[in-house]
Amino acid sequence: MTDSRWSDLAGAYALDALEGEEKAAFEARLALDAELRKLVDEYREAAASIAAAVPERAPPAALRGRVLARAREARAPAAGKGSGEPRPRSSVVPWVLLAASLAGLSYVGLSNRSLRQDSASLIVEISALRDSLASTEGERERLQTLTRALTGSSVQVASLTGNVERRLWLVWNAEQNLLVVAASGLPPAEPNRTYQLWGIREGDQPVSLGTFNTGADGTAVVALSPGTQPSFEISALTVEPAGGSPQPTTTPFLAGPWRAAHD
Amino acid sequence: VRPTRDLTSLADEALMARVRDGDERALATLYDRHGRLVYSLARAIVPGDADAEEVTEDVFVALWTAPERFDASRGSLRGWIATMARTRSLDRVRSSKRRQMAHERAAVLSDEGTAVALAESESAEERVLLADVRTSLDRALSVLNDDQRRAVELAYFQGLSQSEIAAALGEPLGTVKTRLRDGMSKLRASLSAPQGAPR
Repeated sequence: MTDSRWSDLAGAYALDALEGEEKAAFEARLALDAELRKLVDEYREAAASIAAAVPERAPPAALRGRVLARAREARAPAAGKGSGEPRPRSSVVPWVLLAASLAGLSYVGLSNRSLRQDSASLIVEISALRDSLASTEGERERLQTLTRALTGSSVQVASLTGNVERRLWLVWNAEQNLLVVAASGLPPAEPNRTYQLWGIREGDQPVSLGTFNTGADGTAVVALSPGTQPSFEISALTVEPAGGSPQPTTTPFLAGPWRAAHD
Repeated sequence: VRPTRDLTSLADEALMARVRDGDERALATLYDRHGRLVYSLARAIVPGDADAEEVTEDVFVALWTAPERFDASRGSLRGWIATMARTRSLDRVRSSKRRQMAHERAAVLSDEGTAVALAESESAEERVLLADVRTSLDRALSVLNDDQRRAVELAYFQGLSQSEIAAALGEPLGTVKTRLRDGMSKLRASLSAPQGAPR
């Protein structure tokens, strides 16, 4: 059963009213507490009901046509259940732009931007996640994997977010060729699909860092061995055909910048 | 693109399955069903028709390009769309120099006592809009007491954090936390019929 100190914060979290360490600790708890996630979902529905209270105003008639025209210009839906093989992308640039946008970065000057400014808060998140793992019986192995990855002088970390409440925490220990992926709120990929993680450097094609899937509760803590050095500015997540793709074939829906864990 | 009769009879989840398959008619049907909600909510947050229209475009294009982000096991499509509309509207306000104007609008929405003075800076049309929003919210959020409603509205329409709400209201942080907790708890309890069916 969820501790009341967390459930008491769920309503404020659903309104995006938590901040700082309190928010980080809540999200770390959320990653491991299915009951709390369900509560947050219910509070989000409650928050959305406020929208229904706003008196309706008809949008301009021309807006419908503009929406459909923009959709037509955009690429087809990404993770098509039953839509056949994803179509290959003709150019990686829009994909990278979207990933950078999701990561909260501008593509221009990406490599010059300091990606370390938020590393302290990210470490708080990961530490809280580690503490939560420690408090869960039967999660010792996960804890050991995370702890092993966090140990070392060349560790990089990333928190991947999008426009929804799914989240990935990444810890990359280059010395051990160990990339730990901790996921929350991420439903299992459709049959014959997998999640694929990408490393992105400005001007280069995305590099596959590995594939994984989540459990029925939407969480996962998996260790990947990317076989490459952690020299990427950002990482992004896509849905790909089972087994993974040489290059991304769908739209990235989570992305975030890499930062040094120990400045 | 005109939705056909068989599509308009489909529930949101079935339409989303078609969107995932690239059926543009399904997107058009969803727009016809939820476009007003998105535009109206955006218009209540952003200070201008043009911004509200852009938010509406963004929401439906996002729904089209990344439909896998919707997870029916976690809530209704209508709720998800409303969340996207709110988030994008707040992002737009935050990223613009019009934040101060939005602050004034929030004050109008949350405090009748200052409404008259602040509304003088708004156009006549804007004053009518805000008065409509105020009346409608009063009715819909009647399960909350005034303090809870004010805190919830500042968070929802202004995107303020707990500490920002405390500063704005001149109340202790703990008091604001309690109001948000109790207010959201009441709202959650007041939800009854499941949403997402054709309406």
